[in-house]
Amino acid sequence: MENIVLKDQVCLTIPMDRDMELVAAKTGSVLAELNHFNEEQTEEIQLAIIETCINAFEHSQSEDRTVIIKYIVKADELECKITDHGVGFTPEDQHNSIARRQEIHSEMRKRGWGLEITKTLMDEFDIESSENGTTVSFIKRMAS
Amino acid sequence: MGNSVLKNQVCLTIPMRRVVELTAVQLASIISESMSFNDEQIEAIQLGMLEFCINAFEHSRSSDQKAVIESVIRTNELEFRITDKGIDIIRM
Amino acid sequence: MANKFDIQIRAEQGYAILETAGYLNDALGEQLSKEAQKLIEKGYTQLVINLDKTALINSIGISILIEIIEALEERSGTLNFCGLSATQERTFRMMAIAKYAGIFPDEKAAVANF
Repeated sequence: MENIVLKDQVCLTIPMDRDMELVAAKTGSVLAELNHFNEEQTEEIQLAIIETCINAFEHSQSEDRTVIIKYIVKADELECKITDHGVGFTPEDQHNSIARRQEIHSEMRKRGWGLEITKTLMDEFDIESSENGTTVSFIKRMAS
Repeated sequence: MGNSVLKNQVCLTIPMRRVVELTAVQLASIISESMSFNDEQIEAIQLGMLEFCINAFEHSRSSDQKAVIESVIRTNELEFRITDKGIDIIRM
Repeated sequence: MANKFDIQIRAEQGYAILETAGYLNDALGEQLSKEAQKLIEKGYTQLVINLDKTALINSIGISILIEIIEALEERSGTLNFCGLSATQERTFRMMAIAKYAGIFPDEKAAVANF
């Protein structure tokens, strides 16, 4: 079966509630599987969606308490754009938040990994953030 | 769109494209599993979602070719609303 | 929504195995941490966590696994993981967990390497 290419994107809106990130991850998983991403890549896409969503749940301070996930399916790649309407953040905020944490083993810090994990697992990664909210975008390309 | 979503309401918009209905089926499946519906009920929910999506894809003649699936999660029930902007099926 | 999860515990001579099933998030992580603490208090300092039936782990779940590693370090104990997917292993290595806990393909190897 040939890969699906969607003229229009799939869009999911979830409340910032317990385990809702799984709904977003599983939707991404179906689209990745339909497009013949392998099992490992599909898991990577799910993890990236989970981490970005829980980051928004925990840190966005969004009043509407929703996250919007847009899945853009192309012939050989899947792009996700994950948006919240929270207060936004700067790279300095992120760095300071990590630096403030005291850990027994500094290299094995407990929290603040979400966006780093996403960045490592995906082929392209971008953050747009302002006082009106944040959009994290990432692209996973099919392995050749 | 975000502002219209209540707590425990999930909204999925899908293009009317072959096999994409499976994203809606997966959505229905994961929500119903997490609510502890039994296997038979989950299968019925999946089948209902599949059929309503396909129905909208095949018969709505919607100009935007999109279906919107809203899921409202309550304590002991799950409601789905599947909406398209197609023609009125009552007058078809 | 509530994620379904389960933890099976098998205490053997000198070590114990905790086998998780379901999404390892804060809820399952905290439950796992409680069970590990109970075992540590009973004197078990060599633990295996088998993640074979856990398809997805988030970073909050992993942060709780780090707390279990730290609790065992206080008693000079060891934690070995097994049953990780390639992506989970990659994430564990990125978060430096592999330096303080063992990662093995299956329970047999995890137990043999205390």
